[in-house]
Amino acid sequence: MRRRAALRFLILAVFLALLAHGVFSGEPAEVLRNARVLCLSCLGL
Amino acid sequence: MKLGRIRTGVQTFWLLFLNSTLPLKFFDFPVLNCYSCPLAATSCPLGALQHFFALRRLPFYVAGELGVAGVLGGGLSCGWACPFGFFQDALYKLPTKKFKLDFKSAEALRFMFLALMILLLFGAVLARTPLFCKLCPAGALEAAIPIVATEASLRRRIGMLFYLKLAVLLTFVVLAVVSKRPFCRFACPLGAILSAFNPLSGVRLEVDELGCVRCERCEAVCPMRIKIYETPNSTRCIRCLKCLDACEGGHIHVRFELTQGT
Repeated sequence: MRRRAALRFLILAVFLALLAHGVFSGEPAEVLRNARVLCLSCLGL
Repeated sequence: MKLGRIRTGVQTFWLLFLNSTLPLKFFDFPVLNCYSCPLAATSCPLGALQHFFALRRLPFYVAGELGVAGVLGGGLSCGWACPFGFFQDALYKLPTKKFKLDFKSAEALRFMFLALMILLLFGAVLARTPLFCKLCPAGALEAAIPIVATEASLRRRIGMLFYLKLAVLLTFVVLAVVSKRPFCRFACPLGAILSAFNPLSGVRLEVDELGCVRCERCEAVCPMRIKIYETPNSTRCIRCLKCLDACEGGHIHVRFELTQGT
């Protein structure tokens, strides 16, 4: 396997590990809760 | 069929899908589409990122999503799926006089705007509030205007910040009519994050150096004003692939690689 592909796999593995950690820590549910609240900052209020 | 037409179809699909009210807001799709929009189906990665920053927590999930999207496609979602990018593409089609910023001033402007936007993004840690969202033009277009227009109770809370947000949107709308994708080019931190992966990402542009005559047609159509023949995988490229249509000799190629590479 060439160098760029190896580096790509390594970085992909790191980000997949971060993603998995976030998922198992319940972050998607928190993102959902946050998105459901009407964000007054987004509205500029 | 020209790639440009296919891209318009794909952008229309994502515009409708990302604003279809489907219950997918636990997922941050890597485009600028405000989750406060009444129609939004997914969450905005920048909004979610700032939520965790404001709580002074590391955003593992959002960072992981953005990293995976970046490694696989680089800036591909900017060019093919971002609703705010599509909006700017549509504005540029209005028949008016167009302007091209010269390369040096454009780079200086980009650096200044991006630095400010990234400062606002990370400023959420100190301010404990999503600073970038307060000025985000996509938020103004997709959430602030429709919600404030339909909710009488919120109209009473309008202050200077709301008008400032509208002014930012208006500035980029005017700029988008006369120049290509000004927000993507000068100010979008999400595009800067995703495109930073371009030199390594799976979606790759390649130029046939023997056939290329450096006619600069690719640079002329590029919304980011990149010399494709010099840096086909530039960290500014949004992977719109307009250069493929523009190259008369067909010397620019796109391919997806995961296991190959030099």
